[in-house]
Amino acid sequence: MSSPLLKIENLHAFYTVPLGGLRYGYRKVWALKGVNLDVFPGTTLGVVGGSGSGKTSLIRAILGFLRPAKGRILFRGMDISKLDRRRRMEIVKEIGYVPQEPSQSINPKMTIKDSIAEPLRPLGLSKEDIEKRIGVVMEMLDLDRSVGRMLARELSGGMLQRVAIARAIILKPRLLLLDEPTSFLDISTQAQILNILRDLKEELGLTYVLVSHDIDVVSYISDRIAVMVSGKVVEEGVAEKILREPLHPYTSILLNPEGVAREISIANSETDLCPIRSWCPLRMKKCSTEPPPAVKIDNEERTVLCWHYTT
Amino acid sequence: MALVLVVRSEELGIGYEHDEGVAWVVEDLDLEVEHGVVTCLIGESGCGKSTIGNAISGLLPPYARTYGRLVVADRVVIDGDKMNFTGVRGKVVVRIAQDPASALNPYLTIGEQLSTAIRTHFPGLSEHDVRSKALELLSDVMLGEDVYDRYPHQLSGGMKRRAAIALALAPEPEVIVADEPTSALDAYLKYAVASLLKKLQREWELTLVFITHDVSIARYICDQVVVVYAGRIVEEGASPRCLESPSHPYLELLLKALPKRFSKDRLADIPGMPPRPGMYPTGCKFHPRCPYVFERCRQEEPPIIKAGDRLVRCWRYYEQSLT
Repeated sequence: MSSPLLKIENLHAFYTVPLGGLRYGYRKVWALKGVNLDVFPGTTLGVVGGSGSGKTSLIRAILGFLRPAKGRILFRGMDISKLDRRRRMEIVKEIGYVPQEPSQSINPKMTIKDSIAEPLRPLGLSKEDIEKRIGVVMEMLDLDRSVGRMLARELSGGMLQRVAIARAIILKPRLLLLDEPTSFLDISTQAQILNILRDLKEELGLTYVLVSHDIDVVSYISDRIAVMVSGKVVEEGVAEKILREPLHPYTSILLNPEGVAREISIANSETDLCPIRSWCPLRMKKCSTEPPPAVKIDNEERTVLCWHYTT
Repeated sequence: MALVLVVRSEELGIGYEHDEGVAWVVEDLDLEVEHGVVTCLIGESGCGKSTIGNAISGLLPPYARTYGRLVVADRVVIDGDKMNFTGVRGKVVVRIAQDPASALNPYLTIGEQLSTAIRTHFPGLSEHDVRSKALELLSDVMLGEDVYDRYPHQLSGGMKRRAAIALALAPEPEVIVADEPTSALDAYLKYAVASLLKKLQREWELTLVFITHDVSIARYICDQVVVVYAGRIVEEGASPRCLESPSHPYLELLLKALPKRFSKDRLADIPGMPPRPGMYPTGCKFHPRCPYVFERCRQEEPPIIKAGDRLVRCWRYYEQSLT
């Protein structure tokens, strides 16, 4: 097997938040508590999880918006969180990012064309080259030439999301990070964007990390799936297999949410213990005393973070 | 049991006034909602489903214009361009918004808010009865008695949501309009909220108008399905079955555009976008995007036609309905 394009090892990251309650001071809230992931070239890793599970923090850490407290983020074998500014610029060009809400990520005062071309600016390309590249990406995303002269507020959500994707691929990245690319869209526009993403991946040989709370969106586009709860990956493996036979109890709930007609709680505490131990059907004594181990099953193809699968 | 209609609209039109006139969002709507059922209004954003919900709950803004009639619980609330929701709004019909917790007052305890609502709607009650009624409401939404003395900020998101639902139930309404109560929630919370609403609807024999764009939640909760496109009903069925075997081309494509868990088949592309209010096309409102379009669709708007177990607004079912 080829070496992974993106390798995340034991990644920890936290946010500092005010103590609140009329007290002065700050405390750490751990958003990522030891994430391990491999993303191989040309594949799509779908990351699913509930709100507050750390999906977006993971993307932010890869982008360098959130500093890792521990662990490494290896892109093409280099730890991108430790590179100096200049080297980082070189490498990070190859990572594209499509944010959650396009209407907030596109400058409302810039024309669409300028927005798409903005990432090219530091490269010092000639005017013709820039024009040519804009033409190519706009055609790929089925954006009419006239759209280039418009402002963000004149476009619908679906169109804006296409602009955001155009902007992300104009630097010809190898890896594209997609943070809930369709959660703000209607069903029909969601289908258009998902189809475009699938076509682009074929055409450009891209690698995706797609974050979503919608398991059906993830399953449509992913080769592998990682399920996150409370800053940890609790199950990771081949998409098809996880969908057919989820092993971690949290994955089962994500796949069949109508089965749980009550509100369940996810313990977002600082301990390393299993976050679903309070209601888990497979609960054992160990679950409330020791953190769950990462168990490899299916010929090392799948990882489950659960005591139940230790033999 | 005889069919009791709680909500009935006759050729109802709702539009919003702007600088150049009125943009009609909903046109010629004939909606019938039976007592004690869950009716789902399904549609994409901008199709007018929230406008219909706001009309039923009496929450249209002052610049809204109407025509036709709307009857809620035997009271004519919209008659032509006149609206009269006195005694209906907030009493017979209540609305639960997308973020119900925003209905809570942060300065008052949950108990104070519930008792104020109960005192307003049931003036004769003694303080003791008011309190026991409030506690009953809390237990109906599966909250403990301790919540009575707590402030909203002391509750978790899910508890606030349930407290707000209890508050909505305080006037003992007949109809609840829930506008996208499950969007922006995690999958399992969606079902938790939906099943709580369903449970309350059954126990209280309420009529629930559930507005959503989420087909899987609609399948889970609804008795009656109403699919809205460009301010009209395009398909209506008395069971979630039309979400399995759709008749109208729009619903058919919409369901094909949803990602399915075990299928990697390409999702259906519905070309173009839903039309904006005031810019609806002539003829059938779906014809510019419809794969089965023929000449008549462009000229004339189809009436709503009975086809088997449901109503469909499509010329393709017209011939069939004549025989």
